[in-house]
Amino acid sequence: MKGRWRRFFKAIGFTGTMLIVLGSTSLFAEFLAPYRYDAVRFDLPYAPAVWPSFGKGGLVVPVLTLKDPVRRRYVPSGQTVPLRFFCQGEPYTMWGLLHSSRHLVCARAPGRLFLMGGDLFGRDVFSRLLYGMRFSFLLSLLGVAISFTIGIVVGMVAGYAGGWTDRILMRLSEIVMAVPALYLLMGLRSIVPYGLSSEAITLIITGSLSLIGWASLSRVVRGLVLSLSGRDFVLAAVSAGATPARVIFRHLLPNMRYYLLVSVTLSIPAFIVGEAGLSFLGLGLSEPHPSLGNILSESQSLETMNSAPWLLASGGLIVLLVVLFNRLGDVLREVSGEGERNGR
Amino acid sequence: MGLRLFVALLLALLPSCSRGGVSGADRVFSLVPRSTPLHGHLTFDILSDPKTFNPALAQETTSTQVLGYLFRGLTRVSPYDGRIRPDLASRWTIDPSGLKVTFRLEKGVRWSDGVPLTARDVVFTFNRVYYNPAVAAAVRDILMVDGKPFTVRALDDRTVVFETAKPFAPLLEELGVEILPEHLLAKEVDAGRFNTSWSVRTPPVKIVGTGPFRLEKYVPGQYILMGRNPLYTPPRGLKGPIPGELPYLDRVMLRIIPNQNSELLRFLAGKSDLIGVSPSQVPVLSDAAHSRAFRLLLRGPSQAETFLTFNENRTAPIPAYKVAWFRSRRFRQAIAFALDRKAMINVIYNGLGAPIPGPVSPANKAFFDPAVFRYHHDLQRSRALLAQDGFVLRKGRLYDSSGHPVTVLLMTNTESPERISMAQMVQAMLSPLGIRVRVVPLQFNMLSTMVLSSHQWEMLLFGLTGTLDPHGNATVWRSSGFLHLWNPGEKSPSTPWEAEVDRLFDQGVATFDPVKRKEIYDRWQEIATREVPMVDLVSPDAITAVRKTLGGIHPTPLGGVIPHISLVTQKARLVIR
Repeated sequence: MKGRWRRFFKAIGFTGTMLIVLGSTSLFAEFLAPYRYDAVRFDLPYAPAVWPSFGKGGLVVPVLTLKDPVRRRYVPSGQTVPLRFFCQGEPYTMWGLLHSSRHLVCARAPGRLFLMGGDLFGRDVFSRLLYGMRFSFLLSLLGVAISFTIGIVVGMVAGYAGGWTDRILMRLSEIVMAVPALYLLMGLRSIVPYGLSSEAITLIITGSLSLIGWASLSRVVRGLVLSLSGRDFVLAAVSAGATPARVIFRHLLPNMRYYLLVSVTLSIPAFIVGEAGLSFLGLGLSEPHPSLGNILSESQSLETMNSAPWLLASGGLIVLLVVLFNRLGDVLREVSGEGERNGR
Repeated sequence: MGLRLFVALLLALLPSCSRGGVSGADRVFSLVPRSTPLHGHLTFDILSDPKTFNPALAQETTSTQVLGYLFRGLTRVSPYDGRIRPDLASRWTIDPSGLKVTFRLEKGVRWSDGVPLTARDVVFTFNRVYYNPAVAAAVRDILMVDGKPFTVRALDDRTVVFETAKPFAPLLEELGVEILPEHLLAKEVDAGRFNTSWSVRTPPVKIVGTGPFRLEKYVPGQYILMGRNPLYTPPRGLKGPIPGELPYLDRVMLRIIPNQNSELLRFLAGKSDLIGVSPSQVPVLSDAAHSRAFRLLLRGPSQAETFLTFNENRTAPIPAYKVAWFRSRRFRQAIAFALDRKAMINVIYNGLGAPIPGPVSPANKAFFDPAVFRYHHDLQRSRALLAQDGFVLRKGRLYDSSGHPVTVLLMTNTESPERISMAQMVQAMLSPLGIRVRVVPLQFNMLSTMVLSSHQWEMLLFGLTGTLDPHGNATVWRSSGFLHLWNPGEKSPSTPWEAEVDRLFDQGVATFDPVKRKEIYDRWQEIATREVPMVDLVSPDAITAVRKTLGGIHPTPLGGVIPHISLVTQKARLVIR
């Protein structure tokens, strides 16, 4: 058992491990984040990072007071609150199922733990990043699922059927590719009625991103189908009387699996960046719900750069996720190359 | 490999560990005195292009700002005390009946093309332009009493008589509207071309005014250059501290920079002399004040204020039970008590602002009633008021007496990030009451259509700039008013207090005695704060950063930092090392 886990981590490498850690962190955001994403403290606008330190009776969190509201300068008030683990904090419902109010760490008011500083409303940026990262993960996985389903089906049908079906489907994908993505997204977003819930908006953003994501994939899939269907094993299967479904599912798809796996990992960053771009323009998830893009968009003014540079951390997180997923793609490609050489 | 990647990414994740300056190299500006403070240049930035150079058609602030240098009215308002001072009219007499005012024009005033200004120009401006239904003049509404225009007659070349059907107290203030040249514009009116005349494509020499400056060059998207008007006759009583012809400046250059951050950086780089500063920009500026040779002038609360209002229109296409909440005074008061204005000032305006208790800003000392009821942050009272109205709290959500959950859409306009932040604060502040608020930012044009014509809105967070004379609030507070936002253009007042406000405005406009007028408008402020159809929130402090090279700069409570543009001097040159 132990050996199998070691092999697994060795196979996916450092990058994959990091992604699993980040993904599970965001999955348990309600528990791991010290505060809810919309828990405001209007008395602590743009509060700097507050870390726990050793004091009376273990770890304590210093309490800040706003000394100069104009420049948002804070001084420690001298008071501290104890840092508690597995404590009762703000109630939450995890995944819409589990009601609880246990948090990994909490510091009671008037103290507040700001691992990465606070935003304009005194919300904890670290907590918001965890929730925002979950939104990015969910959105990109859902988006990839939708766009790959469409892309693979269209590519398969076009490549396998050929003729007019092929021509119509491929021209369609070219039309989709020719539409400038950003304008399409902005247009789609503007016809959405206002006052929708954030879940509905999430689905709409994902849907609209996937709607343009499938086209290039379908062309590649079609090309792969065309090249594979000339190969001996496919011809043999066809001449042996195999149905098209059997040919597709038993012979074509398995031979494309490495390509598809790699391109999945390479498409996820596109969705993350796409969401960030939309939210940055104010077209994505709306406040107070956090997404990496709308946290970043808060930091676009000169004043914020000056007084709260930590808001740029969400930009760093976007970079991190994008690089990790791209790197994972490379790792998978190497693994698949080895796999093919080894004749597996 | 992995570790190195990790370290590099960790560095990317920690963007900055220090609060550094944003303005780049630490240059120091020094001042070299000029031999004379006269013949200087003034440069500042404006956010957008003017839409027209025709004062009668100008509506948005960029056009009116530019035209303020080129044109003058009969009277002007002193920025120090709000009193009416002579401008093109040197003196006037008010008939005891209050129905007739006779103006005597200043002697020797000429248009910038050399033609003398006469009473005929004044008569033309009112009778043929402002009161001409074919002209899209924005000021027509304020130049009316009970929907009737003033009668304007010329007695001789320098005497004009204004007669009104009823006594009209703000008449003198309203006659600050720009006077136009008959000899150039009469033929445009005759030909029916007035609405397109003096557009931004008109050659600058053809724009002729009586102001201290004249237009020299306009390059769209780049700049507006104004030069001194050599034929300028300063208004009576306006004297500068130093000898020399007015205006003291030779040139005013307005650069069009469509981004506030760029304007700020340009000011810090010494490329402009003057900049209006929002409170959130103060921390960036205050550290640089000494090295960049400028002063930050804080002028106290401005007239711009933000408010929250409710759709009380029974015919609006929103659920009737929501209109019923909004029509309840207790519900509105509960909202007013739930909002923490001090937190709003600290968060949004960096502590540089003031809570606004009622429809008249405390900055307007002549009319503000200090006895108005003030709403302080008191959630207990909010809850009590809601309970009296039959609202109940179940599992952290508020339900009305018929079981509808209290969820409201709060609209605001996307153009103002401060308003969006404020709406989000309202959202967070109402959630302890169990009220769910969904913030909907919309573009201004769409928002005004929804509020004023389709009435498809629930709550609105918006701002208006107050006027000095309370009568300027008539379009908002009169039940028939166009901007009577909570129930626009009512045929008859739908509540007794709205009827009383209508009566007060009718009395106020016809009363000349300042003490009695104040009493009337005090009563209005008391009703307004008791009924709270508009929950007044906060107003930012007015702040201006001014380069130390300029003279003739005095912060005034009402009119910015330039009491009169023709008295501005340039004392020194800026040297950037």
